[in-house]
Amino acid sequence: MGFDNRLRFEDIQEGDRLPEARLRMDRETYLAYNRLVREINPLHFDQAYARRLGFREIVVAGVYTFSFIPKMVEDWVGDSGAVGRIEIQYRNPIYLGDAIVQKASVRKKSADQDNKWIECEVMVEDEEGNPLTRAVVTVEFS
Amino acid sequence: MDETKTGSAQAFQAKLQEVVDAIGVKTLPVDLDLLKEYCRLTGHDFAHCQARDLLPTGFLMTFTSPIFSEMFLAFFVKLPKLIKGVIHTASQVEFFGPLRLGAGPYREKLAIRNLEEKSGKKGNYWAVDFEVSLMDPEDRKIVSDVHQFFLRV
Repeated sequence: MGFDNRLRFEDIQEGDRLPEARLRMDRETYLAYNRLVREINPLHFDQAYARRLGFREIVVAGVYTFSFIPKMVEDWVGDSGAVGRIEIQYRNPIYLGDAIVQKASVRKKSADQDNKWIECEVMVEDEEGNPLTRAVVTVEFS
Repeated sequence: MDETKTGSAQAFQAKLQEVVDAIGVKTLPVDLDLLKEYCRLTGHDFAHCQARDLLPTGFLMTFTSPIFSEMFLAFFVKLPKLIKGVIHTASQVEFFGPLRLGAGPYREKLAIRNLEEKSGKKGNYWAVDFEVSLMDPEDRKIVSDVHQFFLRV
């Protein structure tokens, strides 16, 4: 999304909901990502190893799913360089082949003399609604 | 060394510190091919990044991640039997400036920020906060990326 489509701070309200995003942890794409980052942790590419550790499938690296969280918020705001801070908690593993649903809303809108910012809470869930990851993304406005 | 920590915490932290020190400062690659493939795999708009001279927010985080793999591999090689498992539980990333495509090379440095001894249902573990700092070519810190791991012992 381009800069011209940027939401204005004044047009955002606490409680605003962002469009949901559904993503599948596609095997071919994720394994290509592993090659790109030269992943060495077998938990992220070796199914037998993952199962020996008690996981039902290859566990998708948190940093991969991390990529989609600021993107969701930046796409909504319309500015790909607007995120100032991200806090993220990995609650449950995300498995290769699974679908995830990202839901987000504006939980706080603040301003002081110098700065204006919003905090968006992003919940990543599986298709049954079980929580996988929670993040708080802070977006700054000039 | 933190004087308030127990002897075992100080000893464990000293061992971790040796591994962290050995990793040193890394240079991060930022080239167009890498960025193009990252954008393809994560749904980012490569042409838009190029036009605005911006790196996607997750891009550098993706390429700082292997420093942790290197660190944990070193733990298992240099400190055999000390750590039985690693769980990544949380992270906080703070950006102090824009991530520019043309501003590289960026450099990253790893540090231990906090270490606490914990006990749970499955035994004892250490909660350790590691910080990856990203510096631009002028040595300005542009990203602080703090990760919390539970290290089972």
